[in-house]
Parts: sequence; C-alpha cells; structure tokens
Amino acid sequence: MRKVIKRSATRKSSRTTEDKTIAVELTASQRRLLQILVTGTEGDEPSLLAGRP
Amino acid sequence: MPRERTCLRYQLYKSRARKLAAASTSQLQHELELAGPTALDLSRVRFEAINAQALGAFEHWEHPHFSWGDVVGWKAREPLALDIAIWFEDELCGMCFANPNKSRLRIRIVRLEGRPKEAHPLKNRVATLSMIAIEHYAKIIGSRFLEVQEPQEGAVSIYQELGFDFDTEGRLVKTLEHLVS
Repeated sequence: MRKVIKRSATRKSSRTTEDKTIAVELTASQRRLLQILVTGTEGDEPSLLAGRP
Repeated sequence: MPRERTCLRYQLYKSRARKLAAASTSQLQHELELAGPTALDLSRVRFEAINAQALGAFEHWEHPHFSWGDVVGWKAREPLALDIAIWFEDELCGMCFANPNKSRLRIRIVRLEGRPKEAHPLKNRVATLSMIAIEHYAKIIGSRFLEVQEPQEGAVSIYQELGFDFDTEGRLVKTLEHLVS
C-alpha cells in the first residue's frame, strides 16, 4: 500500500491567491506620480535622464 | 546556501515591484475610463526586467546614450539592484537601473534613459513610470530616500516635478512618505 502524502490546503490556497491578486496600496507620493502620468511631465523629457554616458 | 536563497528573495522583491507598478497603471487606466475616453491606454504599459528581449529591442534604438548590455554584469554583482525595462506593448520606451545602498535606506538611480530620437508612446512619461516602480520597490525593501546619482541638467525640472529637490550637500533627493491610511 502506498503512503499518501497530504499537502496543506491552507498553504496551497494562499499561494494561488497571491498570484492572482495584487493589492496596491499607494502613498501620497505615488498618487501624485499617477496624476502626473495622466498628462505626462510639463517639461519636454530628454531621452538622457540620469547617469553619465 | 544562504546567498542563493537571499538572491532568490531579492528577485521576488523586484518582480513584485514591477507587478505592483503595472497594477497601479492599470488601475489608473480603469479609473480614467470611468470618467470618459482616454488618449493613451496606460494598461498597455509593461514593466519588465532588462532581459534578452529588452536588449534585443534596444539594438533598434538610434544613437542611445548608454550601452545597456553592461547592466547584465551589474545585475550579477548587485543582486539587490532594480532593473526596469518600460514597454508600451511590444515597443521598448525606456530603461532604468537603480541600486540601494547596503543599509537599503537610500536607492540611487544610476541610469535612466528614454528611447532617443524617434517618437514613442511614453514620451514625457518615462521618468514618472520609473519612479512609480522604484517607489514600490522602496516600500518593499524599506528604503526612505531616492537619489538621482548623476541627473542631466535638462532633466532637473522633471525630477523636481516628481518630488525631488537638492539637499544641503547638492544631491538631488526625494524623501519617501508612509502609506496613506
């Protein structure tokens, strides 16, 4: 007779849930960024933004 | 194998930050659509790692400022560093590399570039989209400050619009806030 290995149902369901839904909690700063994203930044954005080529 | 496990954990943090950024822009698009038609569909924005696909698309950029292939080596040396390729559907519009310091309190934006020369759908949004992903990452790893390591002079006003300012030591920084309840 084969031994049956039981898996924890709780662990399985929590992994599945985590994959499907991402709760997005935003800071005030992130909300402001999303507002800016709607119209784009005011100034013309150069292609080189940070770093030394 | 503690190092390997730690690296895997960092990969998950980065992946989660990119997913949260995508979820934020999709949610924004949904809210905008409730108010009326929109010119740009932000749910088509994708945040990915700088992988072979991104480097392949980068080959088609005209006169880029950086050699983004360097990032492959940096990623291997700096497991906590966040690399972001910003896509609009199948069009690569920007790339960013940001690296937390050892204490993780400060994340430095080392490189940020939008697709040069040619027009692209995310023009004037590359820096903002990068900051959205970086701030999600900062929350995950517990960072309190962002710093633009070598901001281009023409981009300073954009960073200021995004909440950065020069500190007393002349560094362009942003102090991050706590969650809104």
